[in-house]
Amino acid sequence: MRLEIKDLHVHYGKIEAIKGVSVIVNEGEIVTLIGANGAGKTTMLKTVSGLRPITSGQIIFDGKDISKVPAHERVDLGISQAPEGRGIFPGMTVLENLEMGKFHRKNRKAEMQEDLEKVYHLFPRLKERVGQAGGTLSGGEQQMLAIGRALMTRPKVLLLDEPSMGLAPQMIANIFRIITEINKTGVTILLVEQNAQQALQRAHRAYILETGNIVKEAKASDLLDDPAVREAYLGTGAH
Amino acid sequence: MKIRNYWNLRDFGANIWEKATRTQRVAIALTSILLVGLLPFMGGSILATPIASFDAVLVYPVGMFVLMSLGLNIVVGKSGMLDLGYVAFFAIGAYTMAILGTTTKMNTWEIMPIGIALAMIAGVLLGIPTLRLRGDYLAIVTLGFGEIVRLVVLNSSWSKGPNGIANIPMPPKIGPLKFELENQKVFFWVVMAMILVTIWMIRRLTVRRPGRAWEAIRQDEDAAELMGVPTLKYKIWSFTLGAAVGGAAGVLYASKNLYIAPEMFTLNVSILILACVVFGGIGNIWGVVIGATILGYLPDRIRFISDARLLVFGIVLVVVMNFRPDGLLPRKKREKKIIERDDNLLKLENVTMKFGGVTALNGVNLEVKRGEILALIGPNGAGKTTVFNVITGVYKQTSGTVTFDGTSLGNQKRYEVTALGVARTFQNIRLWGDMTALENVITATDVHKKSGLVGALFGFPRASIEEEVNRERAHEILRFIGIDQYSDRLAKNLPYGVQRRLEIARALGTSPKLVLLDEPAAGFNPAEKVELAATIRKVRDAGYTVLLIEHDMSLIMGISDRVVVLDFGTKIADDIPSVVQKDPRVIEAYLGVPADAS
Amino acid sequence: MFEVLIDQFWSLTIAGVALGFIYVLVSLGYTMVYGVLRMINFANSEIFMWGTFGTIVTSRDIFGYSQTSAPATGPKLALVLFSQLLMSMAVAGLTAVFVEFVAYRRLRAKGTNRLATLISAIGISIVLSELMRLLTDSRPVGSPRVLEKIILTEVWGANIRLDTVVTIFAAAAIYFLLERFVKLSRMGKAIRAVSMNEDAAKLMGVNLNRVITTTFLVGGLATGAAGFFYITVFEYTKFNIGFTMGMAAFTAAVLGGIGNIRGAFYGGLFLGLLEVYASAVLGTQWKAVTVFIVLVLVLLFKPNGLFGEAVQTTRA
Repeated sequence: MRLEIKDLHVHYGKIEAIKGVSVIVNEGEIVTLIGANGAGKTTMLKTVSGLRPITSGQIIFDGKDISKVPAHERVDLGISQAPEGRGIFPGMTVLENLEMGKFHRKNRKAEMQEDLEKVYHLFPRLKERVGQAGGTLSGGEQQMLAIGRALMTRPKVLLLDEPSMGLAPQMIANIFRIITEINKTGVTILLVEQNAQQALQRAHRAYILETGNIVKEAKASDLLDDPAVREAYLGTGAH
Repeated sequence: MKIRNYWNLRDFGANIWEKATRTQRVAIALTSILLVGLLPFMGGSILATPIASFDAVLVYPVGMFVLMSLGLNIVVGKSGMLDLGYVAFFAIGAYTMAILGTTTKMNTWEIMPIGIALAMIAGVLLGIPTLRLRGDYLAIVTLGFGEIVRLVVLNSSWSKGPNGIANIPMPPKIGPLKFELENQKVFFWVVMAMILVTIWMIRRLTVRRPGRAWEAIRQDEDAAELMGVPTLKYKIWSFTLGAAVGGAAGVLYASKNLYIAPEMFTLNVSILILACVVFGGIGNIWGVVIGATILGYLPDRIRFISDARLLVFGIVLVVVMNFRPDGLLPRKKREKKIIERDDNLLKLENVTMKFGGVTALNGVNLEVKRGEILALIGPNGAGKTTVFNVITGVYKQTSGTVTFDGTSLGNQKRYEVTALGVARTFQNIRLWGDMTALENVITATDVHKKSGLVGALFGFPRASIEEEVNRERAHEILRFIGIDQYSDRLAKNLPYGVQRRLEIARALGTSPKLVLLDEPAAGFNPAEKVELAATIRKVRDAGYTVLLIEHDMSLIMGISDRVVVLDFGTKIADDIPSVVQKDPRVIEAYLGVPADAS
Repeated sequence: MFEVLIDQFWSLTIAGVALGFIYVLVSLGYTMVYGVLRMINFANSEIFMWGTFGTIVTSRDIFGYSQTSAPATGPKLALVLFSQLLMSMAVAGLTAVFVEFVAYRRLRAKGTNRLATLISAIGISIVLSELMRLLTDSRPVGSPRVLEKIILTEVWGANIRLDTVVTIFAAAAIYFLLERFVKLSRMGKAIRAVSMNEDAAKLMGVNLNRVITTTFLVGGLATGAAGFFYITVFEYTKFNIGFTMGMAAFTAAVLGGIGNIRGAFYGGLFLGLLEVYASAVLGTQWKAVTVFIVLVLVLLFKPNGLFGEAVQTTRA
């Protein structure tokens, strides 16, 4: 299992948002894409999950080009995204939201309880709130719900879009700890983050995206020590 | 949504028009008007209609459809509001004519302004509460409104209910031109005149502030609001203008038909007119005219369509929206321009300028890229200011071409060049000394406001709105340049440094794309120069392109993205500052000794 | 002015509830489509009209009833009524799917602007109504009486007629079935998910196109059922009856909070009663005007509806 993005180009209308990007995510890795606002990180994730059509290039998953496969079928293949801004279903309860994660499965009943337990184990808070409407949860809880719901699909690759966005520092640390935990259960993770510090500490490898181009690719730990990266993305550069 | 050129009639027409000179344009316009005016005499030709007589068909449906489509186009096409109750205004005009015509001694021309006014009042009254709504909701509400007007007319005694009003008087004759039922040529000419007035009005408004506001609303209403466009006000204007045209059409229709009844004012009329607008090309005047002509004429020409007219129109709506949403003649694509334009905002190709026997510029090639600061340097008399004068239209180049933002320069008047987006400052300060700093900038903003008279003619309070908006903008610009505290002082009393900066502010007042700065640092002390450098950078960062002539090398090396060196009217270097600085020819011609590269 | 209202209050109320339930079903056609597309299904009024013709064709042409034949009784009555209902629903449901396919799908795939979609939908509704006008030669079509309008009992001076009772109970049953479907079925959940967050729904494996088609179908079925009840009560239709019905049902949907199924229920009943009472006071010719004024007032002052906001958060 391996996710490979080859020479990807994406346009929004006439504007080219992604200009020939290639990224590889190996099985079992946490790979992070970091970059400023508008660099094209979210667009990248959306093309992998199928929400966003591509102009040209290839997205190869498990050896198969999936770039033409519609989004709802990619879930079956094992790609799951927890969308940015915690795209949960606000009018559904926590439980209903989680159950939606099993929507695509034929044998949903059989797997349901087992997977719910797994999610509750990772996010005990969600278990306390099962009957509450998703829209009434706090920001951190919604983020947990979005990740939990994505896990319900039994993904091979989990795409996380800015999981730390809008969260309190303590909650951020918590979410990142859980991301590592999820990864240890065998789920490959492609993580998009603005919080480069945390992302680089958790990831195995990282790509730096600037205005639609990959400008650097390296082991995450190397980038943490790279003075240029520190200056641009970690705000602690020598100056 | 690529628009193929061979299929793009609009560009074809626009090209001819743009290339034509002023006299040619007048000739084209007059010839077209004359030809169209002669149309009613074509009744015996292949154009003849089987049932109604040809000249009658030209009046209604063709002429009326064109007129009403133009009116509806102001609402749907220009500002993007879907009005499905347009027939209401038509009905109001028609009933005004019918009631006043049968109960008073007033004639059609006297009733016309009343009908228009009542339609406009109805437009405002309906607009104020409903135009806050968006899209689908607005469509439904206007749909309801159109039906309500019909129901009110149907159920009221003053309108004679379902019986309608008969014996409506015809218009009195104009000079020798008599209105007759059997021969409707004169009616046609009146409709034509009304169409021309409407077109004139739309064209005037479109290029001005209202047009920009409508365009902004159509594209993104929220953004328009955020940018300070009073959206509701402009939407009501658009709605009301559309209503006025509908009302005028109604008055004439009643006076031509001599009888009206509620069943003539059903939703179907609104839909027919909408189909005409959509078919021709939403937002494009000529598209709408052609679309309405075709859809008005064909059902009368081809018998089997006339029964199923509305069915055909419904199909037209679906097919056009799905396969050619821009209609026959698409509206001007603003975005298309952006694609076609290249990186070069200004391009001088092989420009030569001779004064008598003296060659001031000798085959100069120069490109200014969008968003850059380009410095033009060279010894005195090298031709730098001549370049400025050629660009701004003070001189016309002896040979070569100057292209600004896709438009070829050379024949324009100076103010036309400014209106295109070129602004300049002067080496020797040329402010309007007896105006305040603010007035200097406001006056510059007036470039885009051509005639206050027209506004007054239509009763727009636009002059005062515009004044206020411009004043606000002028303050903003002064703040941007950092001299707002001097806004109320006479220009001539300002300190020298402030005057120089006011020159830049005034240039920005014209909303330029390109700012030409002629020795902006002349006479500045080092501290002022540092400040000026920051200001120029700020101007560039705000999206303006800057071309400057300057002698101060430290300033130029500090802020320029590129430097072009002229010597004796010839370009001798064109590169980034650090390279130019080391160029032996430049050093020889201009710098003398290598400048200290810091 | 108010005598009629006071004198006949209870019979008006019963008529209002029956009319209200018809509105409830038609407004479901608006509200469900709005929920998933955030667009008004402009052709819903014509879908309703086609349903009414489906009803009449069944009794007149399939079962051979004419204006003069005696009403049906016993099992035959049940059979005919049920067939009429099914036919009306089927015709309307298929029409709705056709509308989605012709007027909405292509534009949605292209992501073209809303104005284009709206105009396309208006176009298709014109096509539907004009087609029927040409087919019926612009004439009104009366329905043979299948269900005899027996007066069952009298309550507080109001006659309780069989057709009214059937309408109220059957329409209520259909409404509750639909509500259950949306709440509990897998497809219903998908519909709700899409209406709350389209992207997230896709990420869960929801096939958007199928959901949208189903939504049009279900909305059409409800609207078709309303067409049947309308004929049962009013026994008459014409190519242009959709207009007033559409305005009213849309107003009902907005009144209850468009996009919200429960809202359509309250909105429909409220509007049905209001309309009947207002007609008693002002005269029936002002009925449409009343509806319109209610619509404008609601849109201006309570755009989310009187009965609480739609469950879904509105998309930006």
